[in-house]
Amino acid sequence: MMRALVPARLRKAVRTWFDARYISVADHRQDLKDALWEVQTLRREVTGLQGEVERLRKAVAARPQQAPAADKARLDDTHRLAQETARALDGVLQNEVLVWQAIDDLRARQAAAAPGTGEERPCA
Amino acid sequence: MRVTWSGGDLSFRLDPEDEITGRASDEYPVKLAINSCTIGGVPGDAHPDLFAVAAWTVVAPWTRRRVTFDRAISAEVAAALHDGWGVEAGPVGAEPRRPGPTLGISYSGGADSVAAAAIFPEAPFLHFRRVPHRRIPNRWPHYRSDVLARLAAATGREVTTVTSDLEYTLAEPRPGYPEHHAVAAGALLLADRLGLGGLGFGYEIGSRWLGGGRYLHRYTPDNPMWSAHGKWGRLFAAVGVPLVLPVGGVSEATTMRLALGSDLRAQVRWCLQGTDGPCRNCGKCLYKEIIQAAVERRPLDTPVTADRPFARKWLRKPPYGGQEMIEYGLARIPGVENTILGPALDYFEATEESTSWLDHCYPPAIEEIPQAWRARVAAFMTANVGLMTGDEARRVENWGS
Repeated sequence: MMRALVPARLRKAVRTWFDARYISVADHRQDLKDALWEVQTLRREVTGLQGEVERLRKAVAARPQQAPAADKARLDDTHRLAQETARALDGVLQNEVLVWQAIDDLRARQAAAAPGTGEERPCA
Repeated sequence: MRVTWSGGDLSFRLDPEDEITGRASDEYPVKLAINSCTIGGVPGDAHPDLFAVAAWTVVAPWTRRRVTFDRAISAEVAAALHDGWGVEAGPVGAEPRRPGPTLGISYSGGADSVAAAAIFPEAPFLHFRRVPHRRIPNRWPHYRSDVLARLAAATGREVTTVTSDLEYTLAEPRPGYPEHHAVAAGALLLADRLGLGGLGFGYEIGSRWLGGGRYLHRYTPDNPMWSAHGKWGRLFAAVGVPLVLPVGGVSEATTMRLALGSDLRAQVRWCLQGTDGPCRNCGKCLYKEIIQAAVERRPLDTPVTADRPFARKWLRKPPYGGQEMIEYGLARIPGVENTILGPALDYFEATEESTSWLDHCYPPAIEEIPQAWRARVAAFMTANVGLMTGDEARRVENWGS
């Protein structure tokens, strides 16, 4: 290696020039600290967002049960009403059969009591 | 009871002694829902006896002492009604109907009627299709009679489909045939048109001889519904359409085997609910799967779980209708102890030997087939099924005792 004697003043000027081109160790430390802080902040934010996603997911899952709960009550009620109406109609139709039975019976008695005036009609 | 027909529309009025709750021929109490129904796809000019018997299949349970038809019937039909049910029937004054040359098959599409049809490959089909009643809300839309009618039409046979709402005349236990014979109401009205001299049904040994369904659950040689000499047998014979039970001597295992081996295999459907195929998830599907698995000697394949009410039906203490097929299944399904049928093993000691009679034909069932069709059934049973031995026949005759 060749060594050359350089005047101290010049050496210092060159060194200062070089040093100015690089970040100091202290600055590096600070940068790392800042980056770490940034990462920790981001971690907190991500955790918060994950919680939010979880909360929304649960809300979505809960919704189909919540909304149909109202629908289900209405459906159950409609079903009940349909069943009761159909059962009630069964009774009405059966009564209709019995009413015709009674009418035919009365007619037959009338015809028997006053022969010639009663008119027995065929059914239906 | 007073009966009036207008075309295919039937209406009837109760006499003073008649009541809303009556009894079917199997003694089961049935409640009347309405006094009118319609049978579609039938001619208006059938013999008066045919109109009378078709009406009787509907009104019989609610008739106590007399029945008055809107047209004169023959003395033969009046006598059959009097001897069978103790009712006065009239007015009398028609010539009896002569039987035609043709055997029709009352075809539902289930394994039993398919097996009956397989014995008579030329016989025309008569298919009963349920339609809603215009005055009764339809609470049973899951019953897919349209699917069954489509399958019947796809058989390639001559098929006459009768549409009817007559099942809605029954309020309780549920809509259905007031008498089992009401399935034939339309077929009776078509008897002249098709030249019928007999009507074949898929009723098998359980219904005919073992008091199956909701009947006595014991040996019933004089079964009033299905024996040739019973009250219904004599009534149908009086209008020249005697009952014919081609598979009356064999079990549902045998009808299943015959049906799945027949030309109609692709159209067999016992499920009333499925559309593109059997639903696999109803009581009928479970019961028939038990039989099919036993016949094919393979594990039970069903999605049905033991908590379903219709599954519990097969885990009861006997006797019950269809019990012979549960025994048959228990003896033949591999690994049955680990299926939902497992608990039924507590009640039976079924073995292949003790249930082998269900693979053969009970000879007296052939004897009672009308002479015109007896030889065909006898030949078919001998060739494809085999007749029961004396010991096997005694299993039938000691059933339920």
